[in-house]
Amino acid sequence: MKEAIRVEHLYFSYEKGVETLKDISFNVNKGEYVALIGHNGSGKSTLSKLLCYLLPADKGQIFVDDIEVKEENESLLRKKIGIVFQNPDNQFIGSTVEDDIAFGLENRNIPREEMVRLVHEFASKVGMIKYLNKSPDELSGGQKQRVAIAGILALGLKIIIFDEATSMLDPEGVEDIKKLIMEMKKEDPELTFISITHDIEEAYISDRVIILNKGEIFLDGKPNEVFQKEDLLKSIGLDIPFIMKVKSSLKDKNVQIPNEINNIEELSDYLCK
Amino acid sequence: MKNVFGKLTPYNTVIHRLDSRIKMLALIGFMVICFLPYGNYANRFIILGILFAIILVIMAIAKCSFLSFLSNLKSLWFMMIFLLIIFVFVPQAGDTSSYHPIVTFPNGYQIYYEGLFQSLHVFFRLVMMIALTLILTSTTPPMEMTYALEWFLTPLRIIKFPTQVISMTISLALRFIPTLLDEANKIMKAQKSRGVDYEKGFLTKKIKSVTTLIVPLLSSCFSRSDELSLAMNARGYEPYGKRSSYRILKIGRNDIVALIIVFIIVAAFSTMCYFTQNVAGYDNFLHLWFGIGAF
Repeated sequence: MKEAIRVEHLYFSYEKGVETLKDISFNVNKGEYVALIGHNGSGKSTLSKLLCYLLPADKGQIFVDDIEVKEENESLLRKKIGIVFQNPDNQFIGSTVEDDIAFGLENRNIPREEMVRLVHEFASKVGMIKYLNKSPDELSGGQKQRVAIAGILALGLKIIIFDEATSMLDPEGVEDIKKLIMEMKKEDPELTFISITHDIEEAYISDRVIILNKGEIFLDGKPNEVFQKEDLLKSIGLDIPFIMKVKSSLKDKNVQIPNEINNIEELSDYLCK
Repeated sequence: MKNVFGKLTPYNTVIHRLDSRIKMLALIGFMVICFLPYGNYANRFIILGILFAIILVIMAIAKCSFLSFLSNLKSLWFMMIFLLIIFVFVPQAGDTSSYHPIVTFPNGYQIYYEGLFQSLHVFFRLVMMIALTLILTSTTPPMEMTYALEWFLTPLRIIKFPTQVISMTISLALRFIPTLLDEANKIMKAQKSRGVDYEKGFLTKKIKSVTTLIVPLLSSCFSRSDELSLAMNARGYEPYGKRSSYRILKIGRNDIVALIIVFIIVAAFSTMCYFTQNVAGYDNFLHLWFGIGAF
């Protein structure tokens, strides 16, 4: 499988002497859905900004789709990687939904007929076609994030970073966005997602979990493997998903649960057998 | 937003559908003929009366609410008093020998009809300007005005004036007005719950309580703009780069008809202005024809 992102020995600090990121190295394959978790101040958001060249790295290299992340390649990078931020209001640039989806396309100097086609195609893909001429104050947070996602997809970007994109949404909005991610993944297996999140349950449904602690990679692996290490996670104050908690308490009571069972429905079916 | 402009009305009249550039041109044209001099005061009031009637007809076509027009005028009473004081009570400069005094005080100080008429004249012009801007703002979304403004500024591109940057700035400002109003409301509620009183107290106390609103609002403004700039950067925005435009402005048949009508009106009033100014004997034509006293 081809690499979408390769990070080699990355260092970054905002102030001298305080390293925000220390010797970070990892690869992300194309089509992977990676959850990046860690406490506030662990460097997650900084890492996402470095990946998009919104901040320049101090030391080390990043390759996005084999393009090195540096100043000369900035415009090339904008055609590879996109980011959805936390606050849905602050990234809504256009005055209406269609203007906002078109914003990135306008920046690329795409002819108008093509823009209209792309705006309609991707607005319907994220389920916002009915809201094309609505202004942001008429939309919910989840809908605004959908628009942000459509804006990125319309540009044909294959790598999308969610920088706590669901943390300001209500539970319904969160479910909405999670479902949308899953749908998009099914539709285009080439899409790579990096989701920076505090939501352990979201991390659990990803393909891979990277845990950052104090600017270093603490754990990296499949969610099932990573969340097995309950004691290690507790040592840095992170929780484990609900299903893992249930499984481990059942194990303590000598109830054997097969490893393939990964969600609540399967578990309840198994227990009721 | 409704405090700043007349609120956009949700109708789909002919005026709503007109191209925003035509509407802006028409506004400028009407404002110019509002401010043209039409000879003596009798002439001025009658000609401006005709113009006001035309404006009222346009308001009716655009389904402008007469109520919001009146509420806009309500804030003018202070201005009216101010104008009256300035024009009536402040001694007139220059030669006043041909003026018509209303009262003469024992010390020789006079109040003239001319002063009264002048203040009424200015007031009348202001009322018409408000009516005109109300028609524009209640029929045109703010964004369309930005597009029109950008279009009008296009010739400046020859001297490398960054017109796109200006219009982007304006459209972002317009985009964030409701968001920031919302934020201000939230902060106000939060501060009220902590015991800040925005209504009672003397001016000094009020100013103090307003700072509890302004400081957090400004700081959130800065963090918002920071994030906004990151988001724009991430989506490949280059202020001086070549951008295509999603919105296009199209001139239709109605727009041309409207332009011609506006042109005819402007031409007619300019002609009247010319005749009342320059042609001998026409200066007092209303006086001659209708026997209205010439001032």
